[in-house]
Amino acid sequence: MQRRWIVLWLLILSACGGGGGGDGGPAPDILISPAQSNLTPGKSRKLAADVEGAVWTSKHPDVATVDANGRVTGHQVGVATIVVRSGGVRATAVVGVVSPDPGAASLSLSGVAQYEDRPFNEAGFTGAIDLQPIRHAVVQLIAIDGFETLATTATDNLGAFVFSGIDHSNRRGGVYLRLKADTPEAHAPTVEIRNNLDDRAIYTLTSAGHDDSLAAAFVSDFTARVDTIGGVFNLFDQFLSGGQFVEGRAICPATAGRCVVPGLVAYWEAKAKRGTHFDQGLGSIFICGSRGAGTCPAGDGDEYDDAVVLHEYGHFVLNHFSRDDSPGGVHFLGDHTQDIRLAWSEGWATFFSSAVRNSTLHVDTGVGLLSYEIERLTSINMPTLNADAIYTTNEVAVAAVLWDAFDAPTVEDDGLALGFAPLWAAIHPTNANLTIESFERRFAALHLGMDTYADDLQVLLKSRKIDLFPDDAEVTGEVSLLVDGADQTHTLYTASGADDSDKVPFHVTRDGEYVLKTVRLKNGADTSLSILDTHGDVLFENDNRNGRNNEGCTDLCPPNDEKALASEIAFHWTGSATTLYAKVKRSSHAPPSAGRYGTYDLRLHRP
Amino acid sequence: MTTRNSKRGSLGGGLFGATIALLLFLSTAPELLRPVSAEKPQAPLALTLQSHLLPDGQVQLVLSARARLDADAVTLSFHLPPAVTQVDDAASMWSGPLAKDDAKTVVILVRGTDEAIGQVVGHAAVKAAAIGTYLQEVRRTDRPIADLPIEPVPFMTHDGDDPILEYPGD
Repeated sequence: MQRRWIVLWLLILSACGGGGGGDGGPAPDILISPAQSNLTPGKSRKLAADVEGAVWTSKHPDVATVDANGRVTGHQVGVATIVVRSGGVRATAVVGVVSPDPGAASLSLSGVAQYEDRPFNEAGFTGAIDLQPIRHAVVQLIAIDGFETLATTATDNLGAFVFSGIDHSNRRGGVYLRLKADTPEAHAPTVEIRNNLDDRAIYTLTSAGHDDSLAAAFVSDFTARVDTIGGVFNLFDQFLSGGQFVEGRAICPATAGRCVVPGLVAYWEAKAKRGTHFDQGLGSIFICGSRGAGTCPAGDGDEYDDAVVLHEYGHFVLNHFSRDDSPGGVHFLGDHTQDIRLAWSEGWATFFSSAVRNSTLHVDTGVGLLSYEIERLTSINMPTLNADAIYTTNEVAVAAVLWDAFDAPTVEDDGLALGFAPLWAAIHPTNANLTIESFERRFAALHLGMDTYADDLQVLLKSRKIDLFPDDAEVTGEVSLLVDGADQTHTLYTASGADDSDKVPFHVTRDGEYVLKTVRLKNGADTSLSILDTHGDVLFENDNRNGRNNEGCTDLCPPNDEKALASEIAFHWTGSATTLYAKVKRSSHAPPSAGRYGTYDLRLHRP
Repeated sequence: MTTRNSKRGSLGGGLFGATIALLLFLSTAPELLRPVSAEKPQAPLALTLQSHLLPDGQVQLVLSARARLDADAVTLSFHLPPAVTQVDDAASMWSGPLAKDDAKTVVILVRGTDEAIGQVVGHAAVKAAAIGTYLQEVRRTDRPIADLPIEPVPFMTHDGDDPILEYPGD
C-alpha cells in the first residue's frame, strides 16, 4: 500500500513536469536575427547570430547567397534557407527574395502533389519507388513579401489542386506554395502529422518561388522524396485510408448517423519513449523515423511500414469506438501465454491493418526484418508460427480468426466471408472488458437464430485451438478420473454464459497417497481445485499450486500458463474406499490477464 | 501583503486538498494509472552488428545480443560474403541459453572492403518456451545514420499560431 502511494506521488510529480508519451529535443542554441526577412534581387542585408565563429551557408544560392559574415544577397525571386553552424549546433533563417514590381492581379496556380512510396514484399522493401498522390492535404499560397497566406485549398483524390483569380497586386511579386501533412478542418477523417510534443510543428513541403510580377499563371507540382519527408506523406495517406475504411464500412448507433472518426494527431521522429506506439492517454500515434531518436533505433524507421502504421491506427480505432483494456508493453508474436486483453488488442490491430490494406502480409523493415502473414500463418522469422498461433492468449491467433471471418469470397478457404460490419457490430459499442471471449459471446448473441455465422465462427476458432465451447462432459455427463490414468480435458465454458464448474468423480482407497492437479492450462484458464465428499462437503482445496495470489495485478500479471495458474492437491486418504469428486472452476482470484473461460487437463496420480 | 499571503495560503490549501482528493480517487482506480502504450511486437533479442576499422586494415566485427525474454537456446553466427575473410581464430559462432536482460557478444577479425563489410549479416536463432523458435538477422548498425545531416534543411515557422516545419521541395 505504501509503495502504491509513493508511485502515485511520483506519477503526479512527473505529470506536473509535462510530457507524456513522447518528447522533443531542445530548441536550437543559436538565435539568428531576423529569422525571416525579405530582399529584392541585387540587394543585401546582414543577418546576426548570437554565437562566435558561426559558419554561414545558403541552401538555395540561386535565390540568395550569404558570405562569411552573414551578409545575404538576393538574386532571384524565391525563398532561400540560410543555415548557420557553430560547435555542432545549427539554426536556420529564411530569406524571401521578392520582385520590386507588384504581383499579379488575377493569379492562377495549379499542380499535382505526389510522394515517393516504397513497395515491400515478405523479404522487405523491393527497392522500387512508386509515386502516389498526396490526397486531401492542405495547400497554401504564400506571398513571399511578408510571408502571408493569400489563399488555401486542398488536394483532391488524385493529388491535384488549383488556385485561380487571386489578387496579389497589393504586394511585391513572388509567391510559393506550402503543402501540409494536414487535412482541411472540414474533412473527415482529419489527420495531421507533427514532429514532437514540444514543437508540435506540422510537416510541410514547400515549392520553389514563382515571380508573379512577370506572369499570372503557373504550374507547380510537388514530389515528396524518400530522402526528405516522403515517409511523412505515406503516414498521412495510410492514416487517411484507415479513417476512410471505418467511415465507409462501419455500422454505428442510429444517433451517430455514421461513424465519425476522431481527428488523429500523429508524431514522426518524435523521440518517443516507447518507439513506434499508440499512446492511449494522448490518443496519438508515434512513429519512429530512420534517423533514430529517443527509443527508436537508427535505421529502423516505420514511416513506410504500412502494416505497422495501420496496426497502430487499429489501436486508435479500437480505443475510440470500443474498449481496450490491454496493459500494453513488450510482447512477442509467437507467445501464446499472453495477457488475454493484450492478445485481443494486438490481434484486432493486426487484423484491422490487413483489412484496410486488403493484405495478409505484415512486414516491419529495419535493421532486423520482421515478416509474417496471417492467412497461411507463415513467417520468415518464425518457422513454427502456425503451431504457435493458438489460443485466446495469442495475438496472431486472434488476428487470423478475425481475418478469416472477414476476408473476401475470392480468397475464401473457410465458411465465413462477412466483411467488416458484422465484426464491427460485435465490438462497438461496448463498455465491457473486450477480449476474443466476449467478442465470441456478442457475435453469437447477434446471430442467434438468424444464420449459421456463430457455428462458422466456431470452426475458425477451433482451427486456432481457441476453445470457446462446452466440453463433452457438459453434455454427456462426467466420466470417472482414473488413478495414473489418462488426463481428462475440460473447458470452463457453458452455453448459457454462466460460470462453469466441472465436477469429476474419482475413486480412492484406504491409506492411499494421491495427487490431484490441473495441468496444461490453455486459453487463459486459471483454475481453482477442490475435493468434495459424497455429501458435497469440501475436504481439500487449492487455488494456485505456487501459492501466489495474482488478483489485482496490473503491469506484472503472470503469463497464462500452468506454472503460474494451475492448482494441485496432494493428500493421504485415511478413510474407507469411496468415491470423491474433483471440483474445478475458474479461480475467484484470477488476474485480469487471465480469461473468463479456458481449457485445462485434470490428472490424478500417485506421488 | 496580507491579502497576497492570504491568497497564497488559500491556494496552497486548495492545492493540498485537491492533491489529497486526487490521490484518494486514484488509489481507488489503479487501472487508470497504467501507462498504456500499444507497442509493436518485439524480436526476442536486441541484436546489433558493429564494425571497427583497425590500424592494420583489419576490421573487428562485433555481434551483440541482449535477451528480451528468457531464451532456452540462442545461436549467434555471422554470414560473411565471399569478399570478406575471417583472419583470426576466434569462434565465429556461439550457442547457449540467455536469461532475460543478459547479453552475449561474438567478436571476430576480418579483412574486406567497406562495401563488402556492409554485406555481412549477423544471424540469431532463438528458442524460448514462451515464443517457440525465432530467427533474426541484422546488418551493420554502426553506420552513423543519426548523425547524417538532413538535406534539404527544414526551417521552423508559423501558420498563424500553428508551428510548421517547412522542407524545401523540388
